Amino acid sequence: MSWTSRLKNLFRPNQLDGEVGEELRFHLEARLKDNLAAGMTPAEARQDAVRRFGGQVLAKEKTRDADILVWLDTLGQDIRYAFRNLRKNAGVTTAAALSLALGIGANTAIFSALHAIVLRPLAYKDPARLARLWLDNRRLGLHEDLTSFPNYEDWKKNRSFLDLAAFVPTDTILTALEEPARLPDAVVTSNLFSVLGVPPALGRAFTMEEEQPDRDNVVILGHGLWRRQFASDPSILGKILELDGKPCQIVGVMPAGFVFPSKETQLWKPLALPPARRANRGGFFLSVVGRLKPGVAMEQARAEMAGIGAQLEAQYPDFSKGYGVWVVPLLDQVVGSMRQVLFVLLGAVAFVLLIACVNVANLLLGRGVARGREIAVRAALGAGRTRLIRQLLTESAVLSMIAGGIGLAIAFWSIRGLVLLVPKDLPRLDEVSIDAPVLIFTLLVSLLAGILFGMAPALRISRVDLNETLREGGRSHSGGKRVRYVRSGLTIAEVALSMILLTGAGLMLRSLLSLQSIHPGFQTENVLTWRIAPSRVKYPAGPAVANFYSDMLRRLQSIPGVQGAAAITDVFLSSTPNSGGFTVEGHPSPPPEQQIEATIDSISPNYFRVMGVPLIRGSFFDGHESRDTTPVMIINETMAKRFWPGEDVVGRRFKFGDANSNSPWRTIIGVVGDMRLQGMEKAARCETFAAMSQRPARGMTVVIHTASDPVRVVGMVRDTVRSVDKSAVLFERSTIADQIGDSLSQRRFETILLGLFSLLALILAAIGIYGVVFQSVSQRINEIGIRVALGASKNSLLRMIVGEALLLVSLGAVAGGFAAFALSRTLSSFLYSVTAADPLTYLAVAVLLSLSASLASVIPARRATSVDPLNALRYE
Amino acid sequence: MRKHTNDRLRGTLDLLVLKILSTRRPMHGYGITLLIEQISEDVLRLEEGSLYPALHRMTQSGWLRSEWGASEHNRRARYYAITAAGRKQLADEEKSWVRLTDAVARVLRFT
Repeated sequence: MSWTSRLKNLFRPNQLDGEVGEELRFHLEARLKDNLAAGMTPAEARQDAVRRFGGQVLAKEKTRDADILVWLDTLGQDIRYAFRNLRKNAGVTTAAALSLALGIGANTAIFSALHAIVLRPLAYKDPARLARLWLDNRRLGLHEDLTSFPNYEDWKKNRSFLDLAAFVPTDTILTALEEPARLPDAVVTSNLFSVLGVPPALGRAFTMEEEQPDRDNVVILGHGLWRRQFASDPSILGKILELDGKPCQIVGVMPAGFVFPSKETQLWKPLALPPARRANRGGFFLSVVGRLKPGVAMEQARAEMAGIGAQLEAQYPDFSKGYGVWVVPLLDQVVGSMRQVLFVLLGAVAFVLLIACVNVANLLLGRGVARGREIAVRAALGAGRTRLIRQLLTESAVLSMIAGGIGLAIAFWSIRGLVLLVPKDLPRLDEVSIDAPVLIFTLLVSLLAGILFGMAPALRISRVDLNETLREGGRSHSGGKRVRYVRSGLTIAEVALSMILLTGAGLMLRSLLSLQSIHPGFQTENVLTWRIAPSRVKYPAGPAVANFYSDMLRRLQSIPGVQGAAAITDVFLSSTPNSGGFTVEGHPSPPPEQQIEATIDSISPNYFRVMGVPLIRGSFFDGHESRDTTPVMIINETMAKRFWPGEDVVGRRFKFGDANSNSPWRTIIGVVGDMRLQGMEKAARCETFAAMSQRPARGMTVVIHTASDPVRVVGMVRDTVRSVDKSAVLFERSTIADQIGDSLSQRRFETILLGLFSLLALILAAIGIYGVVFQSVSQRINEIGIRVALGASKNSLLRMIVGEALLLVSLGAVAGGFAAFALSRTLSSFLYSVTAADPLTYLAVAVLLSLSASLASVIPARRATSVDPLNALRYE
Repeated sequence: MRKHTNDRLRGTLDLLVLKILSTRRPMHGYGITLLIEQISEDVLRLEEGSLYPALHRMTQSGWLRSEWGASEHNRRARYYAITAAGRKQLADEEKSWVRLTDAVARVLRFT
């Protein structure tokens, strides 16, 4: 009977009962009939039939036994036997189970993150058909740039997408609340919700008519905001919400779990553009999402959109030359580089688990030598080879299941730690948990590990030569050359695996350290940053806003402990910052595709002084700039070197837009040192700064440099701002150090985890080496005794044993070094200012491994060499 | 009542069943019981219920093949037939049986 039908029988004992019962009943009835035919009375006939049969219940049981119980029973026996054996060797079992549990736990934790963040589909209808469309800015080498409204309308004329929708993530001030709060929101085209395939849970989506500037006073709420601020009021539709001082009617509420475009977005308003903005092909501010038609592949869409991009380049060279269309599947966009990070980490933990398996295989092999006699006896009593292998594999499976259980507990706790380590803006982070797919993964990984580490010893042990083993009388030390070769091979393998992990971690650590040591070009310590927006009622227009900031900065500077306070529109630059093309006076206009955009920020005159940015040429703003004086600018060194190489820049002029634009000429009065404003990894781009009195902006970021911990002045800063404007909104409070820290958080996450895993690998490998040396010296204790008796010194013995271990380690390190070099290419995109072949890292890792290995082998070696030779010789 | 407690006796039952099936068409358990009684002239009377575990065990070992069929009185009954592996097993068992009986006979003659 095949094992599948046996398994089926297990689940339908009744039917089996029926079949066996029927067979037996037939027998009894046939006998009964014959008895009656022979002339017995019915009573006699029945009695005789039952007597001859010998108790039918018993027979039935026995018959069924033959079918399943034989099979189940051996399994039960094997499991009982396995438990007995594992208990008998509690030390080895604990060591093995813990190594495995660490490996399995790490795998489970990383897989749960991978599953929640990367593998699980997004919460939209048919999310695999959704894509983001970007302007492919080849002028800047920026694939994911924002696009303009006319571009968006031209992009819509395609055959690949059912529909495209556009949106702009912004923020809005909710003034209706007790204290005005800023909320991230998005202005969206009316079809956005239908493109995503998620209709509002309450009310309706926007209509086309609401995409007009005077009719856009409607709003859709996020489920979270509706619950928190409006207590899930079911009659909320039609109510008025004051946003940025403007009354808006609530027309819909999105369902729980709807996230777009970011986790924080809780308000959606219609995208209503003034006609000038609608028509401006050079105004890039839109994000676009689209849904593919059924049956159209992402590649097809990409090709078609590339064609449309080329067509627009030809049609509008001034606006579109050097710009294409870039299509990214929405999931890739949301997950970003996390996919690669998590797969690399999963690879790393797989290595850790492999090392754990090698360790356990080695432990079992070592013990297997000692168990050779037991196995030989069982074989002699008639147990077949497959039967022995099955039993040993059962033992491995039981061990791996125990380890899997502990590993699950480890994963459960480490996921909490993981969530703390992970960059905060990581999408779908809160969805990381141990659920059914993760449990199945753990089960499979545990079983696989069990088979993996159980196979070698099982095959090896079951191949015992009966006569030899029995004749040896159980003298286990002659474990045979073959076992020793296998164990040496396994040790080399685990050292090689550790070498790979340690090298990866080392390279990552070097990258992180070199990034952390970069000076970003401005003050990083003790700087509080806080966005402050004055109320529109009190400060309606530009000059009033600029006065608000200069008045407030003056007051902030008098707070005790504050060394300086300044303001800038954005301290750091986003990936798509506020920027524009420009024309340099006296230079011929470059062809459009070579035009470079410069970022524009408004600052208070003292900004660079407060932030410690060096002045390279010319002067800072003096505070007397105004709308009535010549427009002046400060630029950064990169821009000065690029456009006026070797010239004195001060006094030169440029203007935004092309040569014919009516934007005014701006005179450069100073050049400041470059700053790393797009994270530490990116060099500065062309940046320009205007005085806020000449280019006022609302919602500037105030930077406050303090003598000590900037958090101490938070209360006083808030009071000061309120004393100037009691309904000003303060938001996005942070420090420069924290923001730089956040920009490195993903890298830190990768490095810490990879570091942890490689440390784990190192420890496991060291334990493995310890175990191998320990078992090998215990088995060779006679030999050692003889050597001592013959006058070998302890030191020479120690050197011999440690030398043997180090030989294996060097072989492993060399093999691992080559493998690491081959694999490090997968890491190259994570590296910064260090090459994948960095000799220093390889050397350091090799030294670390050798030191750990020496330590791990010296301990058991010392123990062995301090044995009294007489005892050693008597030892068996 | 007799109990088949040792392997030799169990082997004997196997031997008898295999021998009977080796020369005949597929039979059901009751038929096999009757034949054993008939051929051995009621000397070998087995506890009939113990035949079935043996049949199932031999089926599982691949010596027999079983399938449901209709009996003489058109009842459903399970029929057993010998397989190639069963014939090989039979040959082995016959040989060892002969060896055993020879040995026992020699011992009896000698003493």
